[in-house]
Amino acid sequence: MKKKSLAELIQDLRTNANVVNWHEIEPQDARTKPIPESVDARIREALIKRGITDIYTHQHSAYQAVQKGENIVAVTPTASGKTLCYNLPVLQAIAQDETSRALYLFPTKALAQDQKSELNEIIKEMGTEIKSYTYDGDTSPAIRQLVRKAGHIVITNPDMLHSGILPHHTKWVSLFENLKYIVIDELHTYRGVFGSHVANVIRRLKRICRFYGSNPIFICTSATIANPKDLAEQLTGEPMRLIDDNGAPRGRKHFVFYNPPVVNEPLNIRKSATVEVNSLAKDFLKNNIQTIIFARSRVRVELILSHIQELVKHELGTKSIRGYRGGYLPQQRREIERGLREGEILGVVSTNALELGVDIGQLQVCVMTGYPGSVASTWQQAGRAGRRHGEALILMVAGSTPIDQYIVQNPEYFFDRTPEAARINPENLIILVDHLKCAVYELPFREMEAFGPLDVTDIMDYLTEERVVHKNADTFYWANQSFPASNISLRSASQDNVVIVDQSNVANVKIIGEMDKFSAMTLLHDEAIYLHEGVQYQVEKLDWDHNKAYVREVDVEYYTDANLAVQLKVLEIDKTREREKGTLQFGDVTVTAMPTIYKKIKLSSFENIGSGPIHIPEIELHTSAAWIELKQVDPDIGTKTLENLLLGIANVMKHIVPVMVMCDRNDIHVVSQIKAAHTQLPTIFIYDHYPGGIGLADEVFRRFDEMRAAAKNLIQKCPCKDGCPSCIGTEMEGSHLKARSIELLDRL
Amino acid sequence: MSGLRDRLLRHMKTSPAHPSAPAASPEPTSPEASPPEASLGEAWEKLGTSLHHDERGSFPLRRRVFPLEHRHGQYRMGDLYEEAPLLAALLDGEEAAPEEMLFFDTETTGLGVGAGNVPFLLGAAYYRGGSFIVEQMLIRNPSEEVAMLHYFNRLLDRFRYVVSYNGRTFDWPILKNRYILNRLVLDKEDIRQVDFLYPSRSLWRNTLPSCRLSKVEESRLGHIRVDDVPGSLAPMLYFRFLAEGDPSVLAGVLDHNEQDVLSLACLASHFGRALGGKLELDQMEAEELFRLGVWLEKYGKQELAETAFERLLAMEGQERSLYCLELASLYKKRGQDERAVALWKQMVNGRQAAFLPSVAPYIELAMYYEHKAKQYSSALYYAEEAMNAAWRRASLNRLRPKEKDLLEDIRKRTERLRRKLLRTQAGS
Repeated sequence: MKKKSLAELIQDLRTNANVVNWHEIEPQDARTKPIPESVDARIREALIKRGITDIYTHQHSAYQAVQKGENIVAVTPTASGKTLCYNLPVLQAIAQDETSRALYLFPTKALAQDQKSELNEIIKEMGTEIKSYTYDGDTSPAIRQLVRKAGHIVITNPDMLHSGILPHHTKWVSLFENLKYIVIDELHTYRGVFGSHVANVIRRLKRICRFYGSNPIFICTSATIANPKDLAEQLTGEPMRLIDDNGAPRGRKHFVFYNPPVVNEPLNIRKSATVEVNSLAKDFLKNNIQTIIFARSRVRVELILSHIQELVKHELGTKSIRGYRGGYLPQQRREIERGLREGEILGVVSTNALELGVDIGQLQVCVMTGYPGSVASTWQQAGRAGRRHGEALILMVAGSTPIDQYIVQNPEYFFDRTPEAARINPENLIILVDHLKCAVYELPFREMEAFGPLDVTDIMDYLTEERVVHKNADTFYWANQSFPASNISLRSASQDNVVIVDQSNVANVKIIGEMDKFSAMTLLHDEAIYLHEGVQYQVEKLDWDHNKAYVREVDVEYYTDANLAVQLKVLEIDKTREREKGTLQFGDVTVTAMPTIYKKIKLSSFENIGSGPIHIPEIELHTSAAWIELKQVDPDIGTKTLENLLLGIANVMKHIVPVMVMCDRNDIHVVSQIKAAHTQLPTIFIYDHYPGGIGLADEVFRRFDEMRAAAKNLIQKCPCKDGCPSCIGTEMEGSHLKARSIELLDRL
Repeated sequence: MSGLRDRLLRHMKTSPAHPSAPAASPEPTSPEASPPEASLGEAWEKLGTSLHHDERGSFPLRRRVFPLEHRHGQYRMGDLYEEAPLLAALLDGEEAAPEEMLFFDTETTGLGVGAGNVPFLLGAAYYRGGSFIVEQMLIRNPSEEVAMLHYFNRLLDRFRYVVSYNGRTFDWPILKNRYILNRLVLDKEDIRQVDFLYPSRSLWRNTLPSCRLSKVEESRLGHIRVDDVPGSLAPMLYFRFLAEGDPSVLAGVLDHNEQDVLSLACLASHFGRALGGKLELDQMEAEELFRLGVWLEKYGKQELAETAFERLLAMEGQERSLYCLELASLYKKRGQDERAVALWKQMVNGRQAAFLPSVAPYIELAMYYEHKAKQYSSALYYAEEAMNAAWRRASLNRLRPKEKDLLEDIRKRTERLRRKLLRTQAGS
């Protein structure tokens, strides 16, 4: 059978009845400029060897701005050659002056590894002795000293900088004395609590640089977000020049929304998105078209992977279709990335793990299983498809959730919206105090010294009273036995991982992966079917206390799906304010998550064929929350309508609160309950998704009226008739939820 | 608490300059020593400290002189004059006089070697003019640090070695941090470090419950501390002093640190004796004898090592047999095949009646006869014996993968030996 080309397949798709929207993005020619005169001859030659004679406009602007001593943030879509935006000025600085040093920050270790290999290739071609090293938890003690003393370019992550480098700055004198550039890649990932921590880590970094007499320039790169310049300025505390004249060429892109057909008219049930994705992806893969498939959960990734491998096993080997997600071991991921770049791997099924800038080359087709959840994420995933020349296809297959259905039925909602803004709040008191402790540990603090834009004398006085620091004359000194950085994690999620041990072969027990504890509750419980690279394993024993899951390979016709029960318990009420129709309160809560039962679901038909209990202790999150309980409810309102009303307001709060308190959407959770456990009253909870809380809920309590006004404003201004995902959720026939929500908000 | 401070303030105002405490004397040897210009107050003088003052500032200094006859456990301070030449092995083979060594230990405000861990007390001790002198430098607040660091820099200039316990990776890096943080230069930053933790671990890692200095001095130097304030309390006591201002809480810390540097000097004598073959071997357990032998051998003291090993082999019973195999493999590594073979044979013969013979000596012998002596029939004999022994063990244990591998290895070896034997027989 003759293979079809992508153009032919696109043509076929045009007549597909399930395609509900077709959006084309026009191609763009390359806009280039010659390599600037000032660039060192060795770098120029290395570039020419790699076939680069001209550079793209944005690379050119970045280079020129940095040469003028400006800090920059370059907004660069996937595969537009963003690394040259920082490698060019950095290599130039080292070529000119061998003592120059640069520090690269990547959000993950994997990205740092990638960057090192790429950088070393150019350096090799330059024929110079520039040394670049990664420095992270995996760096062997043997070469650590070499990195500290002789590394021109040190590549690390914020966590390592926070706990491994800054507190030991005296070992890094040659780096800090000569630091010319700080590169922050994937800037957009530094948002919310994580970003707020990182902003403070950078304040500490700048303090250390000042101590050693250096004043480095910041070079940042970011995916498309609404506020790259603001974010970069807040994160680094420096004025930034925005570089967004992307000159990379782009082929034509087809962005297609696909809605699976209705299979049951009366119940309005659509065919499963997973099944549709399987067969769509099969068509591309069988025609040798490199395809990436995104799915929203790990289980989904493995299910799609095993189906597709099955569908194409006669045409292609299973090795040419791979899975990719957190939980695979690093070397396995490196192998998959390389396979994709070199074209040996034809298809990959991934979670959003491949949203980040891991280099996998450019693929021809991207298939999304459902709406990824945010505009920015969707564009990031879409960016994986699209070569510099020729066509590319992005196919979003809608799931049955209201939000998916809304997006595909209202395409303008997606295409007209700017991507979300990334917000941080480095002045969050709890985070700030944490990092001030680290800062005093690193260097004594002068009384008038500023930390970021703030005067922090009050906090220092407080720490003195607490005997954490000692004041002598006009200087504060660290006066505690502890090592403050070790108690402060930059990321809210616990770093505890469950190791997955395959004991299928007793003589050769091996570790096949790892998983965070929270996910392990529902994916690695006893008797769960765990899918890894398309192979089925059954969990024989989950050793919860020792973080190990023992699995054995099996071949069964079902997968498992676990239920997670989430509960909220009020521990203490600290503050109360009475409102007309409700009571606003603030206090401590415990959020507990406990898996209850799991279901066995048949692979071919998705029918439920059995279930069993899960015995795992609940996971607790002790945090602070603000909540509003309704004292009196209109008796005419039905339970169903009341539930939707609460859900609607909670949904609006989810949009409003992160904007008002400047955090990420994942840092704060909004939950509505028709009968709260402690009062039996209808209640909306807003809690910090961070152990111990970081003051977000407190701010919600204090500024509740502002939030309420903003919520009302958002609902009123929303152009929809009676609700949409941007405001109170989906439309409910004839219940006038929009009007009722506004009325309720007025009287709270 | 404020009462304490008030009291201290009163003392500072009213008490006149006291004469120095009996054991303390102002620094006579330092070229820059100038008479104290201000008094520290009664509480400080009770601790035996006086104020050191020079152009960089001032800090409390306690200087105590110990005569060479002073006993510390079973050692006299003066013993090192006799043992020092023997220490050469630990000093890269160079002989050094006791006067060239600075015995050094710090008390710090925390754990780890981060920039925020501050050594608030530097204890330095040395031999001069027929005495052992302990100088302890202390800072009452961070502003005194520069003067202290400056003083230490001068002091260090007179020495070739810094002798410490875990100083190489802890005390010294922490001290260097302070020079960097104060933008000062420690002239002899790269002075040679002699860290006694390493030889202690080599000798006693399995004999002592821990190789902490206090354990070592108790069991090997025979020194028992009375009312010791453990080093782990030092940070807490110092912070208490910072907050409350009463120096008397530091008395125990100063004494603890002093004991540490005294022990360092005696430990030097002890290691000297060990390297000179002067230790009593009769009292030692098999493990210690074995470690001592290996350690002596590492420093090229073949003969002394041999004495220790012979002593070990002359022991009886269980204890000895545990080390036979290790000793034999040591001989094998050294190329002393006959000695190794003799030991293996001893083990095999002595064990024939044993309920569960160990497999290793049989395999070693099979290897020796196959590869070295090329006597295939002997090799085959031992390989078959190894198989027997391995089976007996394996059958008791059921078959675990490790044992399966072992049996498989022996089986391959026997087959190979049979083939070799056939070939040589055919050839001859």
